[in-house]
Amino acid sequence: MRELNPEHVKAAIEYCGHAPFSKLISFRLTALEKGGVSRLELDLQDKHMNPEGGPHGGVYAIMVDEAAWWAVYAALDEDAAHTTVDLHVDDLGKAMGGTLYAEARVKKMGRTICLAECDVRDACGKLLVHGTSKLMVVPGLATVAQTMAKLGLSPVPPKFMEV
Amino acid sequence: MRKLNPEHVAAAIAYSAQVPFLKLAAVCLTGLEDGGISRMELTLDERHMNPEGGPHGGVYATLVDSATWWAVYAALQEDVGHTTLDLHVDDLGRALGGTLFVEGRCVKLGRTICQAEAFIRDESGKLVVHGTSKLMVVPGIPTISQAAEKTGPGPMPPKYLD
Amino acid sequence: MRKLNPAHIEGAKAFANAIPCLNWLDIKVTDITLGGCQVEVLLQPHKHMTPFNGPYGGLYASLVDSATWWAIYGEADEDAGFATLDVHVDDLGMTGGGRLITEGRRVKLGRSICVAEAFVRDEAGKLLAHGTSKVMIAPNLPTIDDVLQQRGEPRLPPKFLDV
Repeated sequence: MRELNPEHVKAAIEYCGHAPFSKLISFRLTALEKGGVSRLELDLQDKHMNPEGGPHGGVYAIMVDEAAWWAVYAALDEDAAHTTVDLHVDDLGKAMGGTLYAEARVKKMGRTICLAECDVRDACGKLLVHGTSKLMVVPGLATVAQTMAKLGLSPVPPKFMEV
Repeated sequence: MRKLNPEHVAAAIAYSAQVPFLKLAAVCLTGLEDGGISRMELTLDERHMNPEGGPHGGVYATLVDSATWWAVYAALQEDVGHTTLDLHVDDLGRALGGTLFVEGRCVKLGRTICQAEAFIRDESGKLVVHGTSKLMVVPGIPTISQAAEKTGPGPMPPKYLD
Repeated sequence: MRKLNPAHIEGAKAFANAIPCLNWLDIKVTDITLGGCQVEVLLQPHKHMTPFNGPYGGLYASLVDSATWWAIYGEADEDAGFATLDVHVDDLGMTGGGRLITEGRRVKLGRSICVAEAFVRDEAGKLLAHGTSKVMIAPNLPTIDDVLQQRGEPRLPPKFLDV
């Protein structure tokens, strides 16, 4: 049975942290788990807010998009690459501040089309947003490992290990 | 179809320019038109990108969310606020860079539930994203006029020319 | 720009209107154009309405599903087989009876993923539902001609005219 290699997960978390957009928005990947689970966090700051109150809807959408992508990544073969096809976000509650926690899980890994869902909660566990995203496996697209190597984050630890 | 006051539109554009998240993401409201049309632009730079290349999907989602919100704003009566219920974004193609042009359109202005869609095109006119959103009219939540008066840039001119 | 062959369109409409589920719901595909289509249904109280005096939501979903599919058909290559990935319907209003006219419009014809939207209106033009659908084009998916061949029926005339 294959498990995610903790060294690869650490490298993936670091890779996500280096990404320009994650630095701009200040979200961070905190976990990847076997079977296709990811966790993401974001500390709400003034830069995320609407003047009328609460974070801009784009903040939630960004977290769902990113978390769903990583959830599928956690279940995908090492030599495959994927891209987002769509995103659906339902706004269910308003965050007052503090840290947002996203957890995404794969519902289906298809040969081409994968589906993940994601919940975003505040620090009290209140459900703020539910979302789904479909992602497509694309032959020939650069994998995370290939991009990591290109960015000089090598050597890249193997993604899976047999247990 | 009510006619938007051009001075109010200019004030809305100025308001949008100082919304912290839109400033952060470099999203610009450039126009509001009668009947519920909004126009926005975003000039892509390295901060918006994925390591593998191409803009992060969250950039598109932010644009669809904003453009649909402003499209409904452009048709809504002056004294009510509205909020997003949901957002659906379909990725249709890769924008290579440059400026993204967004058009938001109010599809339905209901008493409570409104529906809008947004089209994002790159500089060549290629459609890269289509999205929809449902929004709810909520009496009592702050309007941007109220927010502008409270937190700046100050009171806004009347919304419509009647 | 390509021109659809009217003889092919007549055949495609006949094929559509013989689909058991559409037949059963009395949904008719009345026009297919390049990237567009029109689908109609005459509301019947014993068939389409809920006890709350509006059309059944599933009818809106069927109309959106059909109109988006045929709008994409109206522009896709002759040898393209496709499968619906999703249908998203926003219910926006009710009507007590009469004809529902649904306009399907192609939003994007991609190499693998296509998107279309549909507007369901009553006879007065009031918008009752809006929806989108994504359809995947893949070489191994059956085409209308594959189905006709299996039934032992003649193929449709060529889809496009050379201009």
